[in-house]
Amino acid sequence: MTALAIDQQSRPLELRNQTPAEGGLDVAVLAADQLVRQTSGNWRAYVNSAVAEIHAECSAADWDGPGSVPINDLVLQRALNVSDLLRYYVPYATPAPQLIACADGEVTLTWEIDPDQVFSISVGNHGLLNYAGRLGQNGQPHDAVPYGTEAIEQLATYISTLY
Amino acid sequence: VCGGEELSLFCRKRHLYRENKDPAKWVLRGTAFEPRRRPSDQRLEASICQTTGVPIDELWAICVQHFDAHQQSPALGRGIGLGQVVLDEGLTFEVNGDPHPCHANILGWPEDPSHDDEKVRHLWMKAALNMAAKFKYEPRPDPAAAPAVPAGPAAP
Repeated sequence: MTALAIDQQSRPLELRNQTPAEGGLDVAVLAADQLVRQTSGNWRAYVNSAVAEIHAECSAADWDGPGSVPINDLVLQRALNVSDLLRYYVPYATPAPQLIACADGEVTLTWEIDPDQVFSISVGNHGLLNYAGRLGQNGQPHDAVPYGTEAIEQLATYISTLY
Repeated sequence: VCGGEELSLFCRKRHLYRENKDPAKWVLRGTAFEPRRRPSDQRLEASICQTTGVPIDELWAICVQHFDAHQQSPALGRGIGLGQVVLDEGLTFEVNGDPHPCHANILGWPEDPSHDDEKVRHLWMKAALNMAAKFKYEPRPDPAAAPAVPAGPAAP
């Protein structure tokens, strides 16, 4: 059985009917930088690379000017975990998130089609996942939710509206 | 700072702005606006520069002296938008002229009384996403002129 088949079957019922072929249409209109990233069936290599880059550049004090907080290994591991879990719930064509280090020590995972269609999740050294998005006609959701399966499913639903 | 004031936000990381095939559509990303706590009193603030009528050479000279000098690498460009974009998010300005006359702080970020930032960060993210969508990005006109080894007075 291929990885694609495993991913398709492991998604919740409401997302399972979004086929790779349908997702392929979305991919065609994504910005060039998003095309470089791989679809949800194989995010890991891209995300691992991004994590390594952040670790190299942002793990020292004052990495982003005076007062910026180092990104520690726990935060990077949580970012990896969130990414790993989400990819099983979003449509197959969903590109990997962009990982962005923040000056307060958090890492933001962002999916972005354009400035009006963007969704970000912030992962930090605590038990909450903060998120905010501009989802066009689907509004501007934002909240802080306890890390867990229920939160992952909720966040995946928002991300799925972009793809 | 009034709603019609032009504001500039210097960016030194590529991930702080979003490129497009049409450079006129380059905009900032939300992370460019996220506030920091001032070390002296833990106040949340984001630095910005008032640039209405400031000649482009003078603007980048300010960047060299007061931004590049305190970073590991010089600014790649700047975000440009109006004060009204910030005011529309319920935020306010403080113009204190420090470390230069054009400098201002964006204040009024939602806070948890116990400073548990993880409980309110989503409010900052929401405001930042909204502002970023309305701030165009402009690359530095002459990146080669940026200082390789920063030097200058201390930032606040």
